[in-house]
Amino acid sequence: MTVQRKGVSFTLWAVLLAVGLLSILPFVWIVIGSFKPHLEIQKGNLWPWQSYEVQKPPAEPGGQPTKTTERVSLRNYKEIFTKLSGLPTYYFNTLWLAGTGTFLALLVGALAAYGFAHFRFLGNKLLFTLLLLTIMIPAEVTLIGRYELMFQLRLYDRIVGLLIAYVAGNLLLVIFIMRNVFVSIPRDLVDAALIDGASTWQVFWEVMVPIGRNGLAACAVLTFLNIWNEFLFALTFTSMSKVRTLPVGIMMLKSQFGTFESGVLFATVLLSFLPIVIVFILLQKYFVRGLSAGALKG
Amino acid sequence: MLRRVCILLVVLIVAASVVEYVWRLTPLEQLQAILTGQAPEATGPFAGGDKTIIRLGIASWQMDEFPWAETIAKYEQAHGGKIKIHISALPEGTFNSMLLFWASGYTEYDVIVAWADEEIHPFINYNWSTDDPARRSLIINVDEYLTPAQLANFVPALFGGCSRKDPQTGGINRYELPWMGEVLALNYNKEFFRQRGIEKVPQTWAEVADACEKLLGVEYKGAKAAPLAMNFSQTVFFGQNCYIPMLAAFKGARGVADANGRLDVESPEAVRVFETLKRWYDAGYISPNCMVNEAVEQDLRVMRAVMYPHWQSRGLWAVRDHGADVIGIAATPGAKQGGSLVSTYGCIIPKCSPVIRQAVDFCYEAFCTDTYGFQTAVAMSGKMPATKQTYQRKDLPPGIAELGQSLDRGYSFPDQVNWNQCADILVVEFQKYLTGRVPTAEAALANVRRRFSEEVYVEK
Repeated sequence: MTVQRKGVSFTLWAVLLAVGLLSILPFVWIVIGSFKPHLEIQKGNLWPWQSYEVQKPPAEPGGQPTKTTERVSLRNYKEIFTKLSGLPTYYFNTLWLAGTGTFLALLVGALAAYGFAHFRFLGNKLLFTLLLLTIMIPAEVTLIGRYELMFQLRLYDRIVGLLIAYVAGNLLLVIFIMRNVFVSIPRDLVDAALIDGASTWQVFWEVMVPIGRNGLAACAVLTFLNIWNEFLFALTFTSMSKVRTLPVGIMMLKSQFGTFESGVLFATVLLSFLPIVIVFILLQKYFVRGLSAGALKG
Repeated sequence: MLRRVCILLVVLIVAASVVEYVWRLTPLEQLQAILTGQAPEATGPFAGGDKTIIRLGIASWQMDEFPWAETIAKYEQAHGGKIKIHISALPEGTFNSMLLFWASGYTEYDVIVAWADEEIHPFINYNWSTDDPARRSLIINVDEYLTPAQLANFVPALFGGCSRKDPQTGGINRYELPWMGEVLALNYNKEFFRQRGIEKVPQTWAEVADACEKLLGVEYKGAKAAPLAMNFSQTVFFGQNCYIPMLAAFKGARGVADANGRLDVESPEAVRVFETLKRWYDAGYISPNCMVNEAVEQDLRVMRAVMYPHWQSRGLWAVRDHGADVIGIAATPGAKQGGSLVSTYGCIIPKCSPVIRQAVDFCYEAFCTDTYGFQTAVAMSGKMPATKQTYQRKDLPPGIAELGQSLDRGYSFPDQVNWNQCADILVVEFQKYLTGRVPTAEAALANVRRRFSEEVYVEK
């Protein structure tokens, strides 16, 4: 049997193109803005072919400042490191938290999801429903309680404190997605492995994990993204520079009256979301498959 | 294979976390220690051995505006390396997180330079009603640590925002070591003034209106410039730059507070402020960007507006862009009648710091005097120095020396603790009046009073 591909109408194509362009516009804006000074962005002179004057300080004391014309400049990227001297530290902390947090959330969450999907025990559905209900409680509501807990457990101003908060916060998402993925795996496969003498632990590692890798990849992207961008906890649970993360660091570019130097901000934002883009590009083929896996069962 | 990798990773993460929990070494510090073979520098209050460690937390926006690191290096050198300062940048919002720690007798910092001056008030107010003076507030009263001669060096107006009358002793306590201030000024474009033949800088709001009339339709490189940039966006700037200075001028020497020390929103002058601003808006005097904070904040700098009442530093930023021939800075209109609004930035020291005495001496010597050039740097950056002597210098940037005189009649925000909330309500109700959703200024101010009583000053 051959499948007839329907032609895509011009209207649909145009709409999709327009939506695509609209989606990419902020990204383009950030990229080209990162090569322009703040005042030029404010004036609307954003395009690389629009020139502007730059005043350079006199070569010797008492001399006259000189003026030159530029179209683009890497000055914003240089300024990041003077305005945000802790950037490498923030980068490492964020990378560490996102990497280890994603790994731990996947490990613990997948094991829990395996339990919910393939073991019958009293209160299985009730416990799962209760877990899902907790997703509905916004993190902001529990912030004061969590802060008090961090304080009492001496986890304030520690990376490990943030790590625990992030793993706990993303666990439910992993359990929810992976349970559906594991439920969609035919029971016969599990039974066959058990008949062959595999233990339940081996079934998890040798059957569930390889088959459910699309789901795991989707969870990894979402969890990595959540942790990478997380701001509220990182701001509330830390005060020292050495434990600070990138989103909080970027906020430090704010001036006294809450305004930003747009060019420097754009350059920093561009640098900060590059890892996310890379992770997504690497895992995108698994991402959609993983999210749709188990969509018909659950 | 996958299992083994996972187990190995779990072990590594747990080990790094335990090391961090026990020895306070972050994963990055652990990695650096492994790679270099050297133990990282300890940062705790007692980590310095025979050295005194002072931990200094500075608001992030100030980090690249003032020469902290250079000043600290000179201070450490002058003290023969016996005092070591650990400096850290603090983003907005982390400051209040410290309240619980300080109340429990623990601090990560011995000195804090706050993000904004109103941030210190929760620390002043904490435990305020106790009879025990030592327990009253979480931060030290600097009067107890500075000599009268040292206190006399400061510009008195800068203590306004951080002083509080002690309910038990009746004395005035001061909670900051001021190192810089901001004063409200009229920043203006001399070039546009020349174009329209305005020779005298407006000194009253009536003169501002006359100047606006003359400046209507003025252009820069073919684009229209508004006579007056005023910030009507939902920020504190409406209250700070528009309402308070105009109210102060209209009320003369009576001040901007009511009988309870709260922002006056009841007097006929308050109504007059609302009506005047709306009239100017309708007449086209006000920048069309007035509702967009980010845009109106740039109007003066990009020549989209001629006058901009704001802190003097705004004017000096524009001076840096265009030069003193183009941008001028003058005292805020009505300053002669009502004085100038002043905001203070200072160092605060928690009572739970183990090195209070050393921290006070350090702050005073390093930042509140010109021993290491810090006060000069403050003036050169466009801020108002905190000490009287600095104003005697001949090389101050344009306007600073003149504006220094207006500090003699400086006043601070009324009821600073609730200022942000009050300013928010004020601007929202003003916007409703401006856009016709509330018919009269009286009705708009009645709404402000109702919301103040329902949301800010709730009777218990």
